[in-house]
Amino acid sequence: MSGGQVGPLLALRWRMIRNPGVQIGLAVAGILALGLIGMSVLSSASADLGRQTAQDVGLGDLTAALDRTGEVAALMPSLMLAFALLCVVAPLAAGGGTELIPESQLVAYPVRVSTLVRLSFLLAPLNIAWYLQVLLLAAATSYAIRGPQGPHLPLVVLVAFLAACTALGQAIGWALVGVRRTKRGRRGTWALLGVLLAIAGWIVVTDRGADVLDASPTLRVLSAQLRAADGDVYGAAPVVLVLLAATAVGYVAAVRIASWALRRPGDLGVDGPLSRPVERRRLEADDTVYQVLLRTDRASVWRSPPLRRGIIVLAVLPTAAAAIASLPWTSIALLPPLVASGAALLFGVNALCLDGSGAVWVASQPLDHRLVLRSKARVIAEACAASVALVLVGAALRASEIPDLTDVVAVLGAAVSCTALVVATSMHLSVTRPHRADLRGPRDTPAPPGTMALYSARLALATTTAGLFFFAATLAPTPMPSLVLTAGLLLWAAWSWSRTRRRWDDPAVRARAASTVAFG
Amino acid sequence: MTGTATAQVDVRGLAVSFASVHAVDGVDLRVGAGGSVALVGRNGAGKSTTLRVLGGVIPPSAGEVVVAGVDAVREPRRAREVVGYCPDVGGLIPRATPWEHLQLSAKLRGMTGWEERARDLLDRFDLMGAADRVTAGFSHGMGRRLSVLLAAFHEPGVLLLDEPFDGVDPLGVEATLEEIRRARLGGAAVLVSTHLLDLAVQACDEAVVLRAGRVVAASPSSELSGDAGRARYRELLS
Repeated sequence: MSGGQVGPLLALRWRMIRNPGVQIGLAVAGILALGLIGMSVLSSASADLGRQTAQDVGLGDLTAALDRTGEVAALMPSLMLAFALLCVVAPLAAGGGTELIPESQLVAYPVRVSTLVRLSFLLAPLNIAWYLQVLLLAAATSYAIRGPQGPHLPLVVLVAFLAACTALGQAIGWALVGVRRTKRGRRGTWALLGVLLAIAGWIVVTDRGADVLDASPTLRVLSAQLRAADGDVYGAAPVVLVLLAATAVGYVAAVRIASWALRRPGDLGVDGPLSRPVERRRLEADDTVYQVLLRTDRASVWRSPPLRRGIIVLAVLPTAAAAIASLPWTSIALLPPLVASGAALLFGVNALCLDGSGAVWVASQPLDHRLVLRSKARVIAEACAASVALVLVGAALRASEIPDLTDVVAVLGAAVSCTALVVATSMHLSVTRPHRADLRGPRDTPAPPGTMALYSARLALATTTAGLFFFAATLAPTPMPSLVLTAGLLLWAAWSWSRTRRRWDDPAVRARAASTVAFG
Repeated sequence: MTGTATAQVDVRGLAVSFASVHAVDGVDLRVGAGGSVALVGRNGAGKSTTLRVLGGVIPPSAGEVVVAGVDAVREPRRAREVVGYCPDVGGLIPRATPWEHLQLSAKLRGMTGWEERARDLLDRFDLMGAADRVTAGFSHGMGRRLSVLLAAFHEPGVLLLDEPFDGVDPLGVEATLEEIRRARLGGAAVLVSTHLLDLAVQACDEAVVLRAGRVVAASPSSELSGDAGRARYRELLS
């Protein structure tokens, strides 16, 4: 039974956290996360505003804004569709699934594939995007789709939907990872991506977004929720049974497909990209040390399979989503902080790991140690800025209205200041909390999964707060609030960066960082 | 002290502590120009930590460290210019190629016309065919050979090799021994940390045995060769 392996591996991972403070932080964060879902369900279920029963929101009348519950219920299929999309994209972006312990550290142990898949299921909530969507769906269900007995039965339908999406997403993710392990497979997935982007473009150009949403299978899930809310258990049962069956099929398929995918020659094999020579670039006499370091760091990002894949996903999906959604400028102001955080989570929160075991060799070289830090910060800034710029272009091209000066200043201010804030925070974390991470395997992350969850929560909290301020600033009559906000955040980022640089000046801090990144 | 009377490496009262752990506790070490010393001892004896201090990677808690006439405690950056250091594990940027490592090293030291020496070293260490492949795809032995090559590349006054023979094939061992010989002929002081006693004896004139962060014996390396030497070494370790 792989269940016998899951427990010991979880216990080992927990014991590997040497800092009791981090253990307490993780435990508190877990309790808070669960508590937040519980609180949101209870408070939404007891809210009086716009309370109505399912009879008021007929399926054929979903788009009619009868009152607040009707509006929220009408959004449910789209929210569920977004969750389903995330469940496919997240394991795909993670190279199949989330790893509790890097595969390379488990080679000596007979860990079964089913164990890895189970662990990946268990770790799915550690993705901040997964968690936030579940929180949103749970709150929306409790508020808008509650019957006389409360939201319990609709929530059961929702849980079945969440489980099915997560299981099927893992299966699809592993399938694509397996297919991509050959040259023909990689070409095929690129072709598939091209087709999907073309379809997305066609939907955007022909303005068929509403038609697509109306045909979404998630409408049936909403229908089951509405029936469950009315106490029509038998009416909701078929959909729940289908979802549970999909969960079981998804799980079994994920195990089988992962087993197949992991047996295929990977991209670390002798025939893989690592064995192919890269083009040699000539060292020019006028190249500065900083330029050479920067070139090395950029190459470290682009030559890493998980980073390359993450950057492509981050460039394509939010841009496509922003273009399809046709957002107002108030909402566009929320995008830069979220996208910048996502880019930083790829490697920025542990940027020194780009040097891997070579960090010790770099530390033994006669160079200005601040250049190492500057180069890493620059590469993070480039990744964040490029992702933010792309998503803003996508959003601006399809914005639902013409922006005024206030909108433009707010959006640009959010882009610049949140990128600076994310870079400063990332460099602070990189210097003060380094981790060993090779970023070599397809599922490698810059820090252990629990730490990544804490980092993503920390970045999301800071940047979402900033984003909400910019959102509010777009409603102001003048651009002045946006300018003040931008200046304030830039000053904060500069102060944080200056503090990190001072820490980096301490040889003991540098020695600890290099040793940790290189040796663990 | 091996080599000439002028000490290229002069370490006095070196101590390194990590929290309550004393990794190195009062080590004295002198190596002259052209001399070579093997640091031997059990795991955790303080060999790698001593070399990391000499390589400028970690600062000492106490003591004096002078390498090629440069005070490594007060002027760590200048000290790194005159030292070539091969770390005990890895020591390579995973997604950079050997040639890119050499370019960076040359740029940092302002070397000109370095390409010919780089090609010669790559050839001697049998890495020419892998010069443009990222090191993440290297075998352990290839990585070790490249680390030694990088340490020796700029012909440093002090060559520090931490476990240079670990997992290296016989041809790689020969190339490393040859590089140590060349460095010594060029006037460099060589310090080699290794668990392989026979190779330590072969590579160095003198052997320093460390135990629990302290020097417990220093003698000509030949005294640790043969059955009698190995028996004495085991006694020193226990």
